[in-house]
Amino acid sequence: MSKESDDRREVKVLTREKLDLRQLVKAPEVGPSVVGRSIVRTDAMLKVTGRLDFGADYLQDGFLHGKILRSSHPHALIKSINTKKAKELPGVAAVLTAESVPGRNGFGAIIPDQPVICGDKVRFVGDAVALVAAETEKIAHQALELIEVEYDPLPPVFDPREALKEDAPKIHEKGNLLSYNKLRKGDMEKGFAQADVILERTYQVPFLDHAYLEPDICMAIPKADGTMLVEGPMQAPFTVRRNVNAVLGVPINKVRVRQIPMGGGFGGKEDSPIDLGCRAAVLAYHTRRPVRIALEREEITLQTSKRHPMIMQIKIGAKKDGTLVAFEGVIYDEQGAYASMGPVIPPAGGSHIHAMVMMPGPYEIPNVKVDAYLCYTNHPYGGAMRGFGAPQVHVAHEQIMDELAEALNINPIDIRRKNGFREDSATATGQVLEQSVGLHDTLEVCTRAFDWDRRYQETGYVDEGKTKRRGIGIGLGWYRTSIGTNNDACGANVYVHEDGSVLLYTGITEMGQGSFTVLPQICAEELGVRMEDVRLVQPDTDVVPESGPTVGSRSTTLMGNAIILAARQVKESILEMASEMLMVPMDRLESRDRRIYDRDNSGKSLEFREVAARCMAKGKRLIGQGWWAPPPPTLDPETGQGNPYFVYTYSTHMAEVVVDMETGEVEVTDYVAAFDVGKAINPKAVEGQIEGGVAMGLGYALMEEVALEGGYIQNLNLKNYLIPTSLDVPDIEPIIVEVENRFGPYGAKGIGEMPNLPATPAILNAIANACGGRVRTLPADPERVFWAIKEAERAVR
Amino acid sequence: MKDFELYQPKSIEEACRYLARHRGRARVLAGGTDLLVELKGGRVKLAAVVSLKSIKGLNKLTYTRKEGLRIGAMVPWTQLLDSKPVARNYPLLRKAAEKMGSIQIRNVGTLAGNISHASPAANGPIPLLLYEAECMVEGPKGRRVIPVEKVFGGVQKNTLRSAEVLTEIRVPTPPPGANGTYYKFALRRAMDLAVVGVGALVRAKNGVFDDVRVALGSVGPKPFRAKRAEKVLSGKMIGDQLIREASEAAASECAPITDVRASKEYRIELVKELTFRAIKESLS
Repeated sequence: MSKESDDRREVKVLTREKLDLRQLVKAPEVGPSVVGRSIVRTDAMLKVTGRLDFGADYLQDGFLHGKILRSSHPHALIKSINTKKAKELPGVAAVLTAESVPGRNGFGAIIPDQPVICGDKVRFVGDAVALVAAETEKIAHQALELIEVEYDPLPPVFDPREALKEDAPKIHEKGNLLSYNKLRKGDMEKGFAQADVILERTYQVPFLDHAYLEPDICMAIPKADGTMLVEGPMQAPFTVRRNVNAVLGVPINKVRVRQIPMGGGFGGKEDSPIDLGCRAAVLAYHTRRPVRIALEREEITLQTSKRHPMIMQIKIGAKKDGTLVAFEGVIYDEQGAYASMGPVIPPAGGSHIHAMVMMPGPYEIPNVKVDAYLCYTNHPYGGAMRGFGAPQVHVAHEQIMDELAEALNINPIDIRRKNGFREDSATATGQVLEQSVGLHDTLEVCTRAFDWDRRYQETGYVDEGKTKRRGIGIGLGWYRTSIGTNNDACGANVYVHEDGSVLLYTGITEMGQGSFTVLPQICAEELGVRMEDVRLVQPDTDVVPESGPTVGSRSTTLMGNAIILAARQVKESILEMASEMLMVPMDRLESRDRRIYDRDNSGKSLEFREVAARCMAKGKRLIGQGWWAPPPPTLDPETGQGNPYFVYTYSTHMAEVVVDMETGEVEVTDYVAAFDVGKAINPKAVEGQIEGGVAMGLGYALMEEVALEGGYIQNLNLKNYLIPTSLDVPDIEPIIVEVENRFGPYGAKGIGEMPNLPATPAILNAIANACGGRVRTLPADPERVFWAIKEAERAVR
Repeated sequence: MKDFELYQPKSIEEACRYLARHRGRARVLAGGTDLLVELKGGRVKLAAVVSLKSIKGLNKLTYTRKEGLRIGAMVPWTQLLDSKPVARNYPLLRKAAEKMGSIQIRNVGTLAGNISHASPAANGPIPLLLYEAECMVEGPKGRRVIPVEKVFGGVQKNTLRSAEVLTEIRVPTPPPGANGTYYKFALRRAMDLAVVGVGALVRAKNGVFDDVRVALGSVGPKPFRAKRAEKVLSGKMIGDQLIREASEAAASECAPITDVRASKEYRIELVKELTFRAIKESLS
C-alpha cells in the first residue's frame, strides 16, 4: 500500500502567488517535505477494512450494563421514586437515585447545572431519574420497567420568547434567561438615516441532531488503587475528567480518562461523554465493578445535545450602490433544559456569544447592534455542533444579503464584493483584520470556477413541460480558529528514541477529521523525519499533556504550534550533536527526510537515527514539551467590542439547484466551494472536510430537523430523522486558497467546522433564485418550498 | 425486546400449525426488515415468530408468458432487481425494487413481507395493484387466492386469517401495449419512506384511453386503486384537461394524514400533480 494517495486527481491548491493576486508574505527557505502532501490518513486502512475496534467491539466480560431511566415529562416535580421491585430483580447490581451520587450531583461542560440523577424535578424528557446496573442489558431494561416514579407535572416552556416573559414557569431557580449579551458599534440612528433601503426579516432554524454513525458508549472501571478509569470516544477527555472527579468527590488525579477510537462526533461528543462518564462512574463507584453504558440510537436522540435552534430578527440598511450602513439583530437562542456549551466563558467562549459576534457576517458595517438572549426551555439542550452558533447566523446574514441585493437590483456577488472583509477591515466587534484575509480571493476564484456570470444569465425553466426551474446561489462564510476563552491552549510532548522513531503525545482526539494524520505530519516535518517514523499516542489524561477540547477548529493550528515547539527542543539536541559529529556550525545544519546535512555542502550528512542514538548514549535531551496559546482574546461585555478570536478562515460557496415548481422538490445539481485555509497541511484531508461539510450544510438546508411536539421528539431514529444520502449530494468542486496565517503552523488555520456554514445559505439562495419563493424557516423541505412558491405566485398576482 | 419462541418449520403446513398454536400472538418472519424493528422497539409483543427460511421452494422466482410472474414468499428484493423477466416485463415492479431501502435491506427484505406488512407507504403495493397481482395464501383450511387489492386491511393490517401464510405472489403479464410509471415521492433520494406513491398503467387506442389503472400509496390507511380517476378517463379522448380532471378525482379519493414527513394538504397537492404526470408519462 502506497503512502501517497491512490487517487491521482490533482488537488487544487492556489496560493496568492498562483492566483497572481499578491506575493505570499514569505516563502520558506527550503520547501516542506511532509507538510502540504496528501498523505493517506493513518487510520484509513484500519477503518475501511473493519479492523479498528470501536467501543462496541470491546470485550464485555466482567462488565455490568448501565441503563438510564428517563423522565416521562418535559417539566415536572418528582413526587416519589420506588426502586424496591427493580432492586429485587435477580441480576440487578444497583439501582441508584439522586442521593446515591457521592459528590456533586451535577455536570456540564461550562456550568454543572445538569443532575447526574434528578432528585426533585425534571426539565426535559431526556433527564435521568434513576440509573441501573445489571448483569445483562436485558435485565437492566427489565429493571427500568420495575421502577415506579410519581410526577407532579409543571407547566412547560417550549419557546425562548415565552421563556423570557415574567410570568413564565421557572425552569431553573435563577430564571430562564441564561445569558443576555450585546454588541454595540457606531450610531444606529445615524446609520439607518443614511440608508436608501431598509429590510427587516426573521429567520428561524430548528434543533439539529449530529447523527454521528457511532452510538455513544462509555466504560467506567474502578481500579484497586482507588482510581476511576473512564474510557470512551470523546472530544474532550479533560473536560470529562474534571466532571467525573467532582461527581465522585475525589481529586482530579484519582480519575483517569482514556480515549478509544471514535466514529464521528461533530461536536456532540464534547457533551455526551461527560454525561455518560459521570453516570457510568457513579454506577461503578457503587458496585465496585466495571460498568459500560452503550446508548441505543433512540437514546442518543433523546438524551444528548443538539444544535441550538434560533429565531433571528434582522434589520439591515444599505445605500443604493449596496454599501451597508447599519445592521440590527436580535437572537432568541434556545438553550433547552441545561446550559451545556451555551453560556459565556469569558471573554468570548461558548456558543451563544459566538453567534452574537458572527451574526453581522463577514462584512464591514459601520453601525451594528446585536441583542442576544439565551433561554432555558423544556426541550433537549443545545450544545456544540460543527460551527458552534455560527451555522445559524450564516443562514440569516447570507439570506438577507441576497434579499437586499434583490431589493437594490444588484448582482448577489457584487454586493458581497462591495462589503466583504479585506485586509485591515474592521469587524462588528471592532477587530481590525490585520492578516490572512482571503475572503475576496475565494470569491473571485469561486466565481470563475463556477462560471457565475454566465449562469446568472441562464436561470429559468430547464424542461419543455415548464415544471422545473434552475437557480444559482452564493454563500460567504467566515469562521474562527480557537475558542475565545482565556484558557485556550495546547500542550504536546515529543519523544525521540535512539533508533530515530518518535512518539507524539497530544490530547487532541480523532473523530474522523484527520488530526491523527495532520499532527504527525507537522511533527515529522519539524523534526526532519518521515511520516511513518512518528506514532501518535491515543489521548489519555494520565499520559498526555492538557490540550483542551478537540473543538473550535483549533487542533491543527494550536496543537500544530505546540508540536513544533516541542519538536524544536529535541531538534536542538539533535542539531547540537550533529554539529559536533560533522564539525559544521549548527546554523548551517538542516534536518530533512531522516538526514541531517550541511546546507552548504549536502555531501556532509548523517542519518537522523545515528544522531539520535548518540544523543541517547551521551545523555542528551530527547524529550520536548511544547505549549502554545494564541494571542489573548478580548471582548467588552458591555459593548461586545474587542478581538474575540485571533484568526478566521474565509470561504465562498456557489450552488446550482433545480426546483420542481409543482412539487417543491429540490435537487442540488452543482457545487463549488473555495476556502482560504492559510496553508493546507494535507490538501486531501482539507478536501474531505469541505465535501463532508457541504453535505452537512445541505442537510441543514433541505431536510434535517428534530421534530418536537409538546416536548417529545417525534423522530427518534434515523428512519425519520433524515440526513442526506450520497444520492442527495452533488459533485462538489473544492478549491483551496492559501493566504498565510502568521500565527499558524506553516501558515495554517482551521477548517474543521467551516465548510458546512456557507453551504446552507448558498442552497437556500439558489432555491429562491430558481423559484422566486424564499424559505425563512428551516428546513426547506419540498413542502415548505412548495408553499413558498405558492406564496410568491400570489404576491406576483 | 421481549422473549419469544422462534420456529423454523420445514413446510407451510407446519408453519400454519405454529401460527394456529399461538393464534394472534405469532407473526411470520419473511426477511424481518419490518418485524424485527417493531419487536425491538417494543411496539409489537409476540409469543412466537415463525420463520419461513427453512421451507424449500419459497425463494423461487419464475416467469412464463402464459402464467406470468410467480414470486415465492422468500424472494428478496435483490432477486427481483437481478431478474431479467422482471426488468423486461414488469418495469414498475423493478422500479419499486430499485427504490427499496438500501442494498442491505434489499438483500434481506422480501416483496411478500412488504405486502403482508401492509404499510400504506410501502413500495410493493403500487406495481402489484397496477398489474393486478394475486396472493396465494395457505392455512389450516386449505388454500385460497386473494387479489392484491383485497389483501390490505388497514394501516399495517392485512386480511389474512391468523394461521394463514402468504406463500406466493402471482403477477399476470401486463396488457400488451400498456405503458406505465411509478413515482415514489420522498424527502430524500434513497432510503426513505414515500410521502406519496403514485403509479399509472395506461393503454391507449386511437387517441382514446382504453385501459387505465392508477394506484396511490401513503394517502390513506391502505394503498389502493383510484377507481374514480380511472372512470373519468376510461373510454374518453386523451387530453390534458381530462387528465387534470382525473387527477382531481384521484385527490378526492385520498384521506391522507399529517405526520412528521408532510401535511395532509400538501399530500393532496402532490397527488394532483403526480397523477397528472404519471398518466402523461405513461402515454408518451
